[in-house]
Amino acid sequence: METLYTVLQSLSEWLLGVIAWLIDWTRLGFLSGIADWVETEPVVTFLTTLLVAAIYFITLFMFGLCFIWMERKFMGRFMDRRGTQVGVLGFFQNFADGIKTMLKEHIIPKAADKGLFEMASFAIIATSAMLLGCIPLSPQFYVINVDLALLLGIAIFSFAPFGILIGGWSSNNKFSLIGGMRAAAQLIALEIPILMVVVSVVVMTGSLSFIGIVGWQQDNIWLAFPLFIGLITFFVAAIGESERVPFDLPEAEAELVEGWQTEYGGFRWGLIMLSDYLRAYIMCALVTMLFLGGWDGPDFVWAEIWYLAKTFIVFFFFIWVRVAMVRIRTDQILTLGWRRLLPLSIVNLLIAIALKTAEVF
Amino acid sequence: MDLTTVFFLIFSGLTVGCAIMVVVSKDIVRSVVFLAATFIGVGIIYMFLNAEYLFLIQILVYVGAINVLILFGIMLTRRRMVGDDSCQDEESGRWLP
Repeated sequence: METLYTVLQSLSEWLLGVIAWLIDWTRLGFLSGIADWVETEPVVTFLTTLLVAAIYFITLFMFGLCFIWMERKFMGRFMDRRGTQVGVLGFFQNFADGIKTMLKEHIIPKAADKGLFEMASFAIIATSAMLLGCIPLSPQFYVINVDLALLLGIAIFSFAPFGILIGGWSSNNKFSLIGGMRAAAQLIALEIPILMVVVSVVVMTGSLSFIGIVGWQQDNIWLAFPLFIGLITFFVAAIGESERVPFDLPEAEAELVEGWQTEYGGFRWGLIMLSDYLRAYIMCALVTMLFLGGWDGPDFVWAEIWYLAKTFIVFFFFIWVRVAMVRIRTDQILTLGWRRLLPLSIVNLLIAIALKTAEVF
Repeated sequence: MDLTTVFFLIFSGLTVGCAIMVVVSKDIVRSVVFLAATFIGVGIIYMFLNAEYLFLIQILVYVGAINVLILFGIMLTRRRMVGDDSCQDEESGRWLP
Protein backbone atom coordinates (compact mmCIF):
# COMPACT_ATOMS: atom_id res chain seq x y z
CA MET A 1 0.00 0.00 0.00
CA GLU A 2 1.30 3.44 -0.90
CA THR A 3 1.50 5.54 2.24
CA LEU A 4 2.80 9.08 2.63
CA TYR A 5 6.00 7.61 4.03
CA THR A 6 6.73 5.26 1.13
CA VAL A 7 5.98 7.94 -1.47
CA LEU A 8 8.32 10.40 0.20
CA GLN A 9 10.92 7.66 0.68
CA SER A 10 11.12 7.05 -3.05
CA LEU A 11 11.18 10.82 -3.62
CA SER A 12 14.09 11.34 -1.23
CA GLU A 13 15.95 8.34 -2.70
CA TRP A 14 15.66 9.98 -6.11
CA LEU A 15 16.67 13.37 -4.72
CA LEU A 16 19.75 12.00 -2.96
CA GLY A 17 20.64 10.06 -6.10
CA VAL A 18 20.62 13.33 -8.05
CA ILE A 19 22.79 14.97 -5.40
CA ALA A 20 25.28 12.06 -5.50
CA TRP A 21 25.38 12.25 -9.31
CA LEU A 22 26.05 16.01 -9.14
CA ILE A 23 28.91 15.45 -6.68
CA ASP A 24 30.37 12.77 -8.96
CA TRP A 25 30.03 15.10 -11.95
CA THR A 26 32.28 17.74 -10.33
CA ARG A 27 35.10 15.10 -10.30
CA LEU A 28 36.58 16.45 -7.07
CA GLY A 29 38.36 13.53 -5.44
CA PHE A 30 37.82 14.49 -1.85
CA LEU A 31 34.04 14.65 -2.32
CA SER A 32 33.65 11.06 -3.53
CA GLY A 33 33.29 9.75 0.03
CA ILE A 34 30.40 12.14 0.58
CA ALA A 35 28.73 10.95 -2.63
CA ASP A 36 28.77 7.38 -1.33
CA TRP A 37 27.60 8.42 2.12
CA VAL A 38 24.67 10.45 0.79
CA GLU A 39 23.03 7.38 -0.73
CA THR A 40 23.21 5.21 2.41
CA GLU A 41 20.08 4.09 4.20
CA PRO A 42 20.27 6.27 7.37
CA VAL A 43 20.48 9.47 5.30
CA VAL A 44 17.46 8.44 3.21
CA THR A 45 15.49 7.64 6.39
CA PHE A 46 16.47 10.95 7.94
CA LEU A 47 15.45 13.00 4.90
CA THR A 48 12.19 11.05 4.57
CA THR A 49 11.29 11.65 8.22
CA LEU A 50 12.04 15.34 7.82
CA LEU A 51 9.90 15.59 4.67
CA VAL A 52 6.99 13.68 6.24
CA ALA A 53 7.04 15.92 9.31
CA ALA A 54 7.28 19.10 7.23
CA ILE A 55 4.48 18.16 4.83
CA TYR A 56 2.15 16.98 7.59
CA PHE A 57 2.80 20.05 9.71
CA ILE A 58 2.28 22.50 6.84
CA THR A 59 -0.95 20.75 5.82
CA LEU A 60 -2.41 20.88 9.30
CA PHE A 61 -1.12 24.43 9.86
CA MET A 62 -3.19 25.45 6.85
CA PHE A 63 -6.21 23.68 8.36
CA GLY A 64 -5.65 25.72 11.53
CA LEU A 65 -5.78 28.90 9.43
CA CYS A 66 -8.92 27.60 7.68
CA PHE A 67 -10.51 27.04 11.09
CA ILE A 68 -9.80 30.63 12.15
CA TRP A 69 -11.17 31.94 8.85
CA MET A 70 -14.26 29.73 9.13
CA GLU A 71 -14.93 30.87 12.67
CA ARG A 72 -14.66 34.55 11.75
CA LYS A 73 -16.79 34.27 8.65
CA PHE A 74 -19.48 32.03 10.14
CA MET A 75 -19.68 34.02 13.36
CA GLY A 76 -20.15 37.12 11.26
CA ARG A 77 -23.00 35.49 9.39
CA PHE A 78 -24.59 34.20 12.60
CA MET A 79 -24.46 37.72 14.03
CA ASP A 80 -25.87 39.21 10.83
CA ARG A 81 -22.69 40.99 9.75
CA ARG A 82 -20.14 40.22 7.04
CA GLY A 83 -17.08 39.03 8.95
CA THR A 84 -13.57 39.56 7.58
CA GLN A 85 -13.21 41.31 4.25
CA VAL A 86 -9.50 41.20 3.30
CA GLY A 87 -8.68 39.18 0.19
CA VAL A 88 -10.67 36.29 -1.27
CA LEU A 89 -13.72 35.90 0.99
CA GLY A 90 -11.70 37.44 3.81
CA PHE A 91 -9.18 34.60 3.89
CA PHE A 92 -6.10 36.84 3.83
CA GLN A 93 -7.05 38.52 7.11
CA ASN A 94 -5.36 35.59 8.90
CA PHE A 95 -2.08 36.19 7.09
CA ALA A 96 -2.31 39.92 7.84
CA ASP A 97 -2.82 39.14 11.53
CA GLY A 98 0.03 36.62 11.51
CA ILE A 99 2.44 39.14 9.99
CA LYS A 100 1.24 41.75 12.47
CA THR A 101 2.00 39.53 15.47
CA MET A 102 5.39 38.65 13.94
CA LEU A 103 6.34 42.34 13.78
CA LYS A 104 5.56 42.99 17.45
CA GLU A 105 8.25 43.04 20.11
CA HIS A 106 8.56 40.07 22.48
CA ILE A 107 8.18 41.50 25.96
CA ILE A 108 8.80 39.64 29.22
CA PRO A 109 7.29 41.43 32.24
CA LYS A 110 9.95 42.74 34.62
CA ALA A 111 8.55 41.01 37.70
CA ALA A 112 7.81 37.74 35.89
CA ASP A 113 9.61 34.47 36.53
CA LYS A 114 11.49 34.58 33.23
CA GLY A 115 12.49 30.95 32.81
CA LEU A 116 9.10 29.51 33.64
CA PHE A 117 7.34 32.23 31.61
CA GLU A 118 9.22 31.10 28.49
CA MET A 119 8.97 27.39 29.31
CA ALA A 120 5.19 27.48 29.75
CA SER A 121 4.59 29.00 26.32
CA PHE A 122 6.97 26.48 24.72
CA ALA A 123 5.22 23.61 26.54
CA ILE A 124 1.77 24.64 25.35
CA ILE A 125 2.75 25.38 21.73
CA ALA A 126 4.98 22.31 21.36
CA THR A 127 2.47 19.84 22.82
CA SER A 128 -0.27 21.24 20.58
CA ALA A 129 1.96 20.80 17.54
CA MET A 130 2.93 17.28 18.69
CA LEU A 131 -0.74 16.32 18.91
CA LEU A 132 -1.11 16.94 15.19
CA GLY A 133 1.24 14.07 14.44
CA CYS A 134 -0.84 11.57 16.41
CA ILE A 135 -3.94 11.91 14.26
CA PRO A 136 -4.00 10.24 10.83
CA LEU A 137 -5.99 11.74 7.97
CA SER A 138 -6.53 8.37 6.27
CA PRO A 139 -4.96 4.89 6.28
CA GLN A 140 -2.40 6.24 3.78
CA PHE A 141 -1.80 9.80 5.00
CA TYR A 142 -0.31 9.65 8.48
CA VAL A 143 2.88 10.27 10.41
CA ILE A 144 2.82 7.62 13.11
CA ASN A 145 0.66 4.52 13.35
CA VAL A 146 1.45 2.91 16.67
CA ASP A 147 -0.83 0.56 18.58
CA LEU A 148 -1.35 3.07 21.39
CA ALA A 149 -1.95 6.20 19.25
CA LEU A 150 -5.16 7.19 21.06
CA LEU A 151 -3.53 6.89 24.49
CA LEU A 152 -0.49 8.80 23.19
CA GLY A 153 -2.71 11.65 22.02
CA ILE A 154 -4.56 11.85 25.33
CA ALA A 155 -1.29 11.70 27.28
CA ILE A 156 0.12 14.63 25.29
CA PHE A 157 -3.17 16.48 25.67
CA SER A 158 -2.94 16.15 29.45
CA PHE A 159 0.22 18.29 29.46
CA ALA A 160 -1.87 21.41 28.84
CA PRO A 161 -3.25 22.13 32.36
CA PHE A 162 0.27 21.99 33.77
CA GLY A 163 1.66 24.44 31.21
CA ILE A 164 -1.31 26.75 31.58
CA LEU A 165 -1.08 26.83 35.37
CA ILE A 166 2.68 27.49 35.24
CA GLY A 167 2.20 30.17 32.56
CA GLY A 168 -0.52 31.90 34.56
CA TRP A 169 1.54 31.84 37.73
CA SER A 170 4.85 32.95 36.23
CA SER A 171 3.30 36.03 34.57
CA ASN A 172 3.03 37.49 38.09
CA ASN A 173 -0.31 39.08 37.37
CA LYS A 174 -3.44 38.43 39.37
CA PHE A 175 -5.64 38.16 36.29
CA SER A 176 -3.42 35.58 34.65
CA LEU A 177 -3.15 33.61 37.91
CA ILE A 178 -6.94 33.48 38.28
CA GLY A 179 -7.26 32.56 34.61
CA GLY A 180 -4.69 29.80 34.98
CA MET A 181 -6.44 28.35 38.02
CA ARG A 182 -9.79 28.40 36.25
CA ALA A 183 -8.33 26.83 33.12
CA ALA A 184 -6.65 24.02 35.03
CA ALA A 185 -9.75 23.32 37.14
CA GLN A 186 -11.90 23.19 34.03
CA LEU A 187 -9.52 20.99 32.04
CA ILE A 188 -9.19 18.54 34.95
CA ALA A 189 -12.95 18.47 35.53
CA LEU A 190 -13.69 17.72 31.87
CA GLU A 191 -10.80 15.33 31.22
CA ILE A 192 -12.39 12.56 33.27
CA PRO A 193 -15.66 12.38 31.26
CA ILE A 194 -13.54 12.43 28.08
CA LEU A 195 -11.44 9.51 29.31
CA MET A 196 -14.54 7.53 30.32
CA VAL A 197 -16.09 8.02 26.88
CA VAL A 198 -12.82 7.03 25.22
CA VAL A 199 -12.80 3.87 27.36
CA SER A 200 -16.30 3.01 26.11
CA VAL A 201 -15.13 3.42 22.51
CA VAL A 202 -12.12 1.21 23.22
CA VAL A 203 -14.42 -1.41 24.79
CA MET A 204 -16.55 -1.45 21.64
CA THR A 205 -13.76 -1.52 19.10
CA GLY A 206 -11.06 -3.39 21.01
CA SER A 207 -8.33 -1.18 19.57
CA LEU A 208 -6.30 1.82 20.71
CA SER A 209 -5.05 2.91 17.29
CA PHE A 210 -7.09 5.31 15.19
CA ILE A 211 -6.82 3.17 12.11
CA GLY A 212 -8.12 0.18 14.06
CA ILE A 213 -11.03 2.15 15.54
CA VAL A 214 -12.11 3.54 12.17
CA GLY A 215 -11.63 0.11 10.59
CA TRP A 216 -14.02 -1.41 13.14
CA GLN A 217 -16.59 1.28 12.35
CA GLN A 218 -16.22 0.63 8.62
CA ASP A 219 -16.89 -3.06 9.21
CA ASN A 220 -19.81 -2.62 11.63
CA ILE A 221 -21.56 0.65 12.39
CA TRP A 222 -20.66 4.26 13.16
CA LEU A 223 -20.36 4.47 16.92
CA ALA A 224 -22.53 7.61 16.96
CA PHE A 225 -25.61 5.35 16.76
CA PRO A 226 -25.07 2.88 19.63
CA LEU A 227 -23.17 5.37 21.79
CA PHE A 228 -25.23 8.50 21.20
CA ILE A 229 -24.99 9.55 24.88
CA GLY A 230 -21.24 9.26 24.60
CA LEU A 231 -21.20 11.47 21.50
CA ILE A 232 -23.14 14.23 23.31
CA THR A 233 -20.97 13.96 26.43
CA PHE A 234 -17.77 13.99 24.40
CA PHE A 235 -18.94 16.94 22.32
CA VAL A 236 -19.73 19.09 25.37
CA ALA A 237 -16.50 18.11 27.11
CA ALA A 238 -14.54 18.74 23.90
CA ILE A 239 -15.80 22.33 23.71
CA GLY A 240 -14.72 22.77 27.32
CA GLU A 241 -11.31 21.21 26.71
CA SER A 242 -10.58 23.63 23.87
CA GLU A 243 -11.60 26.58 26.11
CA ARG A 244 -14.20 28.00 23.75
CA VAL A 245 -17.42 29.85 24.54
CA PRO A 246 -19.51 28.86 26.58
CA PHE A 247 -16.58 27.40 28.54
CA ASP A 248 -14.24 30.36 28.04
CA LEU A 249 -14.09 31.44 31.66
CA PRO A 250 -10.29 31.05 31.74
CA GLU A 251 -10.11 34.04 29.39
CA ALA A 252 -13.33 35.87 30.17
CA GLU A 253 -12.46 39.18 28.49
CA ALA A 254 -14.81 41.31 30.56
CA GLU A 255 -13.37 40.24 33.91
CA LEU A 256 -9.87 38.82 33.35
CA VAL A 257 -8.49 40.83 30.38
CA GLU A 258 -7.26 37.75 28.44
CA GLY A 259 -6.92 35.15 31.21
CA TRP A 260 -3.67 33.25 31.57
CA GLN A 261 -2.33 34.61 28.24
CA THR A 262 -2.60 38.28 29.30
CA GLU A 263 1.15 38.90 29.59
CA TYR A 264 2.18 37.06 26.42
CA GLY A 265 2.73 39.29 23.44
CA GLY A 266 4.01 39.33 19.90
CA PHE A 267 4.49 36.18 17.92
CA ARG A 268 4.48 34.10 21.11
CA TRP A 269 0.85 35.10 21.65
CA GLY A 270 0.08 34.50 17.99
CA LEU A 271 1.34 30.93 18.29
CA ILE A 272 -0.60 30.39 21.54
CA MET A 273 -3.73 31.60 19.77
CA LEU A 274 -3.03 29.28 16.83
CA SER A 275 -2.44 26.39 19.22
CA ASP A 276 -5.89 27.07 20.72
CA TYR A 277 -7.36 26.49 17.28
CA LEU A 278 -5.15 23.46 16.72
CA ARG A 279 -6.54 22.00 19.96
CA ALA A 280 -10.05 22.72 18.72
CA TYR A 281 -9.11 20.89 15.51
CA ILE A 282 -7.79 17.94 17.53
CA MET A 283 -11.07 17.75 19.44
CA CYS A 284 -13.11 17.90 16.21
CA ALA A 285 -10.84 15.19 14.79
CA LEU A 286 -11.40 13.00 17.86
CA VAL A 287 -15.19 13.38 17.59
CA THR A 288 -14.93 12.43 13.91
CA MET A 289 -12.61 9.48 14.53
CA LEU A 290 -14.33 7.99 17.53
CA PHE A 291 -17.99 8.46 16.60
CA LEU A 292 -18.53 9.59 13.03
CA GLY A 293 -16.58 6.90 11.22
CA GLY A 294 -13.45 8.91 10.42
CA TRP A 295 -12.68 8.57 6.71
CA ASP A 296 -15.55 6.13 6.12
CA GLY A 297 -17.70 7.19 3.18
CA PRO A 298 -18.70 6.39 -0.42
CA ASP A 299 -15.76 5.78 -2.71
CA PHE A 300 -16.13 8.54 -5.28
CA VAL A 301 -13.79 10.97 -3.49
CA TRP A 302 -10.64 10.41 -1.47
CA ALA A 303 -10.86 9.21 2.13
CA GLU A 304 -9.06 12.36 3.30
CA ILE A 305 -11.84 14.52 1.84
CA TRP A 306 -14.48 12.62 3.81
CA TYR A 307 -12.48 12.95 6.98
CA LEU A 308 -11.92 16.68 6.53
CA ALA A 309 -15.56 17.31 5.58
CA LYS A 310 -16.74 15.61 8.78
CA THR A 311 -14.20 17.53 10.86
CA PHE A 312 -15.32 20.83 9.42
CA ILE A 313 -18.99 19.96 10.04
CA VAL A 314 -18.18 19.21 13.70
CA PHE A 315 -16.36 22.53 13.91
CA PHE A 316 -19.43 24.23 12.42
CA PHE A 317 -21.37 22.93 15.42
CA PHE A 318 -18.64 24.29 17.70
CA ILE A 319 -19.15 27.74 16.15
CA TRP A 320 -22.91 27.41 16.41
CA VAL A 321 -22.67 26.61 20.13
CA ARG A 322 -20.27 29.52 20.57
CA VAL A 323 -22.66 32.01 19.02
CA ALA A 324 -25.81 30.68 20.66
CA MET A 325 -24.66 30.25 24.27
CA VAL A 326 -23.60 32.60 27.08
CA ARG A 327 -20.66 31.90 29.35
CA ILE A 328 -21.30 29.67 32.36
CA ARG A 329 -20.10 30.39 35.89
CA THR A 330 -17.23 28.64 37.66
CA ASP A 331 -19.50 26.76 40.09
CA GLN A 332 -21.79 25.76 37.23
CA ILE A 333 -18.91 24.29 35.25
CA LEU A 334 -17.90 22.10 38.17
CA THR A 335 -21.54 20.99 38.60
CA LEU A 336 -21.71 20.26 34.88
CA GLY A 337 -18.44 18.37 34.83
CA TRP A 338 -18.82 16.26 37.94
CA ARG A 339 -22.61 15.86 38.33
CA ARG A 340 -23.89 15.75 34.77
CA LEU A 341 -21.16 14.66 32.36
CA LEU A 342 -19.47 12.09 34.61
CA PRO A 343 -22.69 10.08 35.34
CA LEU A 344 -23.63 10.32 31.64
CA SER A 345 -20.24 8.96 30.62
CA ILE A 346 -20.58 6.10 33.12
CA VAL A 347 -24.04 5.25 31.71
CA ASN A 348 -22.46 5.32 28.27
CA LEU A 349 -19.72 2.96 29.40
CA LEU A 350 -22.36 0.58 30.82
CA ILE A 351 -24.21 0.63 27.49
CA ALA A 352 -20.99 -0.17 25.67
CA ILE A 353 -20.20 -3.06 28.01
CA ALA A 354 -23.77 -4.39 27.71
CA LEU A 355 -23.65 -4.25 23.90
CA LYS A 356 -20.28 -5.97 23.89
CA THR A 357 -21.38 -8.67 26.36
CA ALA A 358 -24.57 -9.38 24.45
CA GLU A 359 -22.44 -9.62 21.29
CA VAL A 360 -24.73 -7.33 19.31
CA PHE A 361 -21.76 -6.25 17.16
CA MET B 1 29.58 1.53 24.51
CA ASP B 2 26.68 1.48 22.11
CA LEU B 3 24.24 4.32 21.46
CA THR B 4 21.48 2.93 23.69
CA THR B 5 23.77 2.91 26.71
CA VAL B 6 24.86 6.48 26.01
CA PHE B 7 21.29 7.72 25.77
CA PHE B 8 20.31 5.72 28.86
CA LEU B 9 23.12 7.35 30.82
CA ILE B 10 22.15 10.82 29.57
CA PHE B 11 18.48 10.44 30.47
CA SER B 12 19.07 8.75 33.81
CA GLY B 13 21.57 11.46 34.69
CA LEU B 14 19.02 14.15 33.81
CA THR B 15 16.39 12.36 35.90
CA VAL B 16 18.65 12.17 38.95
CA GLY B 17 19.70 15.80 38.46
CA CYS B 18 16.07 16.96 38.31
CA ALA B 19 15.25 14.88 41.38
CA ILE B 20 18.06 16.61 43.28
CA MET B 21 16.86 20.01 42.03
CA VAL B 22 13.37 19.28 43.46
CA VAL B 23 14.92 19.28 46.92
CA VAL B 24 17.52 22.00 46.36
CA SER B 25 15.35 24.60 44.61
CA LYS B 26 14.32 27.60 46.72
CA ASP B 27 11.07 28.33 44.88
CA ILE B 28 8.39 25.74 45.53
CA VAL B 29 6.71 26.15 42.12
CA ARG B 30 10.07 25.55 40.42
CA SER B 31 10.32 22.39 42.52
CA VAL B 32 7.06 21.19 41.00
CA VAL B 33 8.38 21.86 37.49
CA PHE B 34 11.50 19.82 38.28
CA LEU B 35 9.24 17.10 39.71
CA ALA B 36 7.41 16.99 36.37
CA ALA B 37 10.76 16.66 34.60
CA THR B 38 11.66 13.81 36.96
CA PHE B 39 8.42 11.99 36.16
CA ILE B 40 9.05 12.38 32.43
CA GLY B 41 12.60 11.11 32.91
CA VAL B 42 11.34 8.02 34.74
CA GLY B 43 8.87 7.52 31.87
CA ILE B 44 11.73 7.65 29.36
CA ILE B 45 13.53 4.96 31.35
CA TYR B 46 10.38 2.84 31.02
CA MET B 47 10.72 3.36 27.26
CA PHE B 48 14.24 1.90 27.43
CA LEU B 49 12.66 -1.21 28.98
CA ASN B 50 10.22 -1.43 26.01
CA ALA B 51 7.22 -0.64 28.25
CA GLU B 52 5.42 1.94 26.07
CA TYR B 53 2.08 1.50 27.81
CA LEU B 54 3.63 2.15 31.22
CA PHE B 55 5.34 5.25 29.79
CA LEU B 56 2.07 6.71 28.51
CA ILE B 57 0.22 5.96 31.75
CA GLN B 58 3.10 7.54 33.67
CA ILE B 59 2.77 10.73 31.60
CA LEU B 60 -1.03 10.72 31.81
CA VAL B 61 -1.30 10.10 35.56
CA TYR B 62 1.79 11.70 37.06
CA VAL B 63 2.49 14.69 34.80
CA GLY B 64 -1.13 15.31 33.81
CA ALA B 65 -2.90 14.74 37.11
CA ILE B 66 -0.65 14.41 40.16
CA ASN B 67 1.48 17.40 39.27
CA VAL B 68 -1.51 19.65 38.68
CA LEU B 69 -2.94 18.43 41.98
CA ILE B 70 0.30 19.41 43.76
CA LEU B 71 0.24 22.82 42.02
CA PHE B 72 -3.35 23.33 43.15
CA GLY B 73 -2.33 22.40 46.66
CA ILE B 74 0.47 24.99 46.57
CA MET B 75 -1.61 27.76 45.04
CA LEU B 76 -4.71 27.30 47.17
CA THR B 77 -2.78 27.41 50.43
CA ARG B 78 -0.75 30.35 51.66
CA ARG B 79 2.94 29.87 51.12
CA ARG B 80 3.75 32.23 53.97
CA MET B 81 1.88 31.08 57.04
CA VAL B 82 3.07 33.87 59.36
CA GLY B 83 3.12 37.60 58.62
CA ASP B 84 0.55 40.11 57.49
CA ASP B 85 -2.42 39.37 55.33
CA SER B 86 -1.25 41.23 52.22
CA CYS B 87 -1.28 39.27 49.00
CA GLN B 88 1.87 40.93 47.65
CA ASP B 89 5.41 40.22 48.73
CA GLU B 90 7.15 43.41 49.88
CA GLU B 91 10.67 42.69 48.57
CA SER B 92 9.92 41.28 45.13
CA GLY B 93 6.49 42.76 44.50
CA ARG B 94 5.39 39.28 43.41
CA TRP B 95 1.76 38.27 43.90
CA LEU B 96 1.75 35.43 46.35
CA PRO B 97 0.04 32.31 45.11
